[in-house]
Amino acid sequence: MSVAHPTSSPTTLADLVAQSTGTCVLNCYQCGRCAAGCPQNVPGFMDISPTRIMHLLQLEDTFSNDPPRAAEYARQALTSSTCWLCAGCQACTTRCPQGVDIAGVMDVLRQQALALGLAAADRRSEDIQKFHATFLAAALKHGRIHELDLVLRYKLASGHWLEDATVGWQMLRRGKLSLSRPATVDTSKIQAALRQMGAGPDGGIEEAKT
Amino acid sequence: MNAVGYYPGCSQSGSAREYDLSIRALAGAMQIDLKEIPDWVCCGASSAHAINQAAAFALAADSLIKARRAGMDCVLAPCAMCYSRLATAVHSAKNNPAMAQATTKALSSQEDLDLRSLRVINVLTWLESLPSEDLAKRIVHPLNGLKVACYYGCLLVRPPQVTGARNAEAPRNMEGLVRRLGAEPVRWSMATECCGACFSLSCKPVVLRQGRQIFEAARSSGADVIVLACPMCHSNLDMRQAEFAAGAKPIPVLYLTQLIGLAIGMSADALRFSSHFVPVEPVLTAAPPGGSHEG
Repeated sequence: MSVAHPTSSPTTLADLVAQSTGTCVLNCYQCGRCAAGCPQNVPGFMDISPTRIMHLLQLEDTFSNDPPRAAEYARQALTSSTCWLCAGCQACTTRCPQGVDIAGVMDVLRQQALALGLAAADRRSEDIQKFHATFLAAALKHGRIHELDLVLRYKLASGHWLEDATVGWQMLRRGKLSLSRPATVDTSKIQAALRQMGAGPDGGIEEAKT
Repeated sequence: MNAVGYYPGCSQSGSAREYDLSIRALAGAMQIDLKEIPDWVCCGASSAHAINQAAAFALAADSLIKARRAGMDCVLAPCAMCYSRLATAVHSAKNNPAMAQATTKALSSQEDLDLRSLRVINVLTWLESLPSEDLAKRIVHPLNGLKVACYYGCLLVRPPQVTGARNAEAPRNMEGLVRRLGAEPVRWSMATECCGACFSLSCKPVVLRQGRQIFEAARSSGADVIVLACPMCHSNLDMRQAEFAAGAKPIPVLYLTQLIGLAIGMSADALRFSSHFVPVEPVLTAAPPGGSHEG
């Protein structure tokens, strides 16, 4: 049996997932197909399996009448490295027999974690957060991505200056990195639309304005 | 001449320039007019949807609105990531019309622009839609005997709700196209495994692990070449191959449109094989452009 999730006035992560993806995590019966097919659910990468994340969201929803207990389940899901290490490959969403958009759950977790200041702070998760913020800021500011500029800005943010120096040089030599910036496209309407919609959490919009 | 809207995407003017050139050359040869969307913007890629859903939709919708204004009803997005983001935006417009209309209105100040009827296609769908005799009559160097590992990666097929893939777990349409060139697709197990995507910069161990697994499966299947249709997959499997497959005999990685270009007689220079990290010569030996070929 599957249930439709109410989406009005979201209070739990499951509500936000329903609002964002139109699917309901309460339908998950922990079969483990998402975890089995996930390339990142391997030792040393995701700290909590995707199946367990679904369960944490169900528990938060189930115990929403016991706020401290519900908050603890939400905290575990939000502070996990799992959503940051998700590559967005969509294998879980494709395979879920209950129609839960698990990759969409990861998007909701990342955005909520950033909004609440709970994002995982391990080195890998932080690098990935810096990459996404750098990329989105560049896209919103210039309209198009200049790869060399993106790489340099990411290196500035992450401090990984020496990594891939040789590969970068070879890319330049082979004409795979353009030195000149592509045409800039006006993004003021996109930025205005996002402000008008109160689009948060900030995904580089503030940075893009500078 | 048939016309199709064209969304090149950012990497097509940098790290994937050879992909863009091979698509434009192929379209020219097939007498198809690729009409670039005026002032298209970045699709937001992995990063926008990861950290800001509204920005992800707005970025994709902005280019789609511009396509609509230019009178396009079908848009070809050759990069699998761009394709996924644009197709997802159309999917969202259908499934979440209130959100889509609010954003579209804020972006365009034109309320009647409807993204729902816009069709976003990837390179596989585009190539399959071309009359097979049009391609067949242009093949001057059949790639007979060339063993090809068809690599789809993730977003050309997943999630099927967005891509409409008939068989997302075991797609076969690239194999069909490769067979039409005379080449022989291999049976292998990693066709739809993830390459690690944008973690190439932000979490390299993922890309090295995934790349190694994909490479080893292609190697054991006896493939002469890996063929794909995504700039991110290409850079991960070509550029990083020396790192994840050190000491092994390398496997060249070609865009599907480059492989077709080879079969229809385009030169190695025109296909920019010199920009590849893994030398493409083994493929050229199997199917010499300009040289005679039995079969």
